[in-house]
Amino acid sequence: MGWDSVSFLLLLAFLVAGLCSHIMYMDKMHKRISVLSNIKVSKNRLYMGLSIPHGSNFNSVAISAWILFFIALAYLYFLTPAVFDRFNYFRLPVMASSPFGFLVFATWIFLLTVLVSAYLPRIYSFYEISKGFKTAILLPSPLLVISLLCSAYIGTIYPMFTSLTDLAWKASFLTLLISELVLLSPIFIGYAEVNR
Amino acid sequence: MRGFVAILLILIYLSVIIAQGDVDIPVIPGGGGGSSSGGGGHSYTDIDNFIRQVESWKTNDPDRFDYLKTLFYKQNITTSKYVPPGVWMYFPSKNKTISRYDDVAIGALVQDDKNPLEIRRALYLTLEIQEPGDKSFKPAKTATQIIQVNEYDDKEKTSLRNFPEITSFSFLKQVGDVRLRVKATDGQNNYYSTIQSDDPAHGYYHELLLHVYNIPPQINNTTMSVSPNTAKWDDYIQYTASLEDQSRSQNEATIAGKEENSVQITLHIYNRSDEVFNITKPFLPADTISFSTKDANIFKEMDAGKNFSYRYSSTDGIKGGNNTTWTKLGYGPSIKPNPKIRVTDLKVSSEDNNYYWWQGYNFGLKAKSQAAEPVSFRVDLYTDTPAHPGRLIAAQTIIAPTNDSMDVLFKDMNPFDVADANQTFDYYFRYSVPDQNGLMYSYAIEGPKQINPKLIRYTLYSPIMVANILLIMGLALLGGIMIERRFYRRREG
Repeated sequence: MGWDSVSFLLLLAFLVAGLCSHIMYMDKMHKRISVLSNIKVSKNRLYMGLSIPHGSNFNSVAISAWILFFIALAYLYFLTPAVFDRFNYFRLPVMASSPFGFLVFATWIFLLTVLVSAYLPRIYSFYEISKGFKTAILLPSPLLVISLLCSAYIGTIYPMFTSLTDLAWKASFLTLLISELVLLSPIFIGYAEVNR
Repeated sequence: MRGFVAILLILIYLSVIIAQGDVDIPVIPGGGGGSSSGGGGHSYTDIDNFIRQVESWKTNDPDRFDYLKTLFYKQNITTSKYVPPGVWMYFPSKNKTISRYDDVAIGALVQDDKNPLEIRRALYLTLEIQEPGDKSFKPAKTATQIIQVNEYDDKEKTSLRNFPEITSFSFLKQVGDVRLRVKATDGQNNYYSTIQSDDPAHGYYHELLLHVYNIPPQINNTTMSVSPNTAKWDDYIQYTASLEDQSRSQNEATIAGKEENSVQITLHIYNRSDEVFNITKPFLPADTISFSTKDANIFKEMDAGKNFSYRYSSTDGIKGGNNTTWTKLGYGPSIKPNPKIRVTDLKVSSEDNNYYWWQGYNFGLKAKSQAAEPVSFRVDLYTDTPAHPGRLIAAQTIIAPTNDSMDVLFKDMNPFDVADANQTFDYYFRYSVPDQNGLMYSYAIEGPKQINPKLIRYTLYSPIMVANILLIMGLALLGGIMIERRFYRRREG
């Protein structure tokens, strides 16, 4: 298994870790509130009680960031045959031959992940988010655009490899990883605090 | 004394003549030549006179002449105790149904247990046959076998004799029931084996009845071929095949003679399911069967463009049973259409030497009418790559002139897509009329270079790519706003 595949699994692992942290966070909160209030609280009521509005700007930016994250992830790993030879953009030659094939490809990824992208910011409403993080949530979008550009560059010159190719790949991966960590950080922080 | 000697000589002479049957005695003219020429002598003159006298009796007084013959006749049987030996057909095989080509051994068994050796006689055996369709027996084409007095088995007093000429019944021209019997002659008695009773357990028959069937000649289907399989109507075309079991056939031809055993082979030629031509030729069984357009004008100009099939029928002409076989249907030849156009200079070029998949490619050919007047026809351009085999790219209808070739160009074609990158390609044309080779298509020609492996046509900073990226960003932004408005604002409000 090459570094490409390992890095892909690493990104997936962080997503799974974020999901698990959130589930455990919600579980702990449920138990703690049940103990403190000495009554059995349903999870639905808990969700309603815990939900904190963070504002439409925050939500819009977060949703856009998650949309961009999935598109950038697909561009890094599924644009060229370098990582997944059997599943990539060029396996759909009509789309890949089109001048706006990149846009069509991104639209397909958007449609495939729209439910996930739309739901993830709702998770943020269960966490207390500082003003600092609300500012930090602006960071992933430009980082993900950089990742997208780096991946697009690799795709446009494929199968040629230059000294820039490797650098572009690393930059794309790092920006993707940082963006993911930033986007998942309220969950990790919330989980850490509830375990303190 | 002289008269006595003369009479004695006459008697001996007459006895020989009578023993030989009714033979004309030549008249020696004028007492000259013949026996009287060697020294003359009075006794010879008397004999001559006597001969003439006897001839005169024979003519003028036949009754008395016959009586005279009885006076001189001497019986060659010396005893009345002689009993004619028994004679049977001998055929030990239990199988009485045989083909014309089966090996057979036909024999005769003679048993002479009644006569002591002293009075035995030589026995002359003649095989007689009644072939299918015949009303009576006739002598078979075999030599008379002679059983000498000393050729009997000491114990059984029997003698077995084969008729070696009969090794099979391939000489029959009609199959069916064949009857065989033996005629025996000892010089005095003529009789047949039919007077005996059968002993099938030991292979003895008074009359041998065999059921002979025919195996008609059969062509080996796998040897059928026509060459060339695609040809012009006036090309030399040859059909070949071989008969089955040539070794058997060779034997037959060797034994029975070539003319008698030739096989009549008919070549039947079909267009669709209609027989349009047939030709028959005799072949010896060992020969390679061959028909060609030299034997006959099988195809005509009007056959151009048609597909033919063929098969053979073979017959040996034997009556009384199946004598004809048919082969399977063979396919070919396909007669090329008559040329209407002459096509040359097939070519392809790319915009530049990079041969990217997205580039425009120029294809072309030169065409000229082969007929007396201009020919209107359609040209289809095809490309062939592993990702897109046999892809129709473009078509155009043109009118080919008679005097000079005209260029037929397919300019700025985009026959490839990203899946063709890094692949070789072929191109070819199809025409609505036959070209100079009688074909409705050109041969596939390989492109001069492999298609460039580069996949994306645009650079990152090209307007198209910039537009792509900006639109993706816009999609994400718009998606975020729309989803937030649709799913979050109401909830949080």
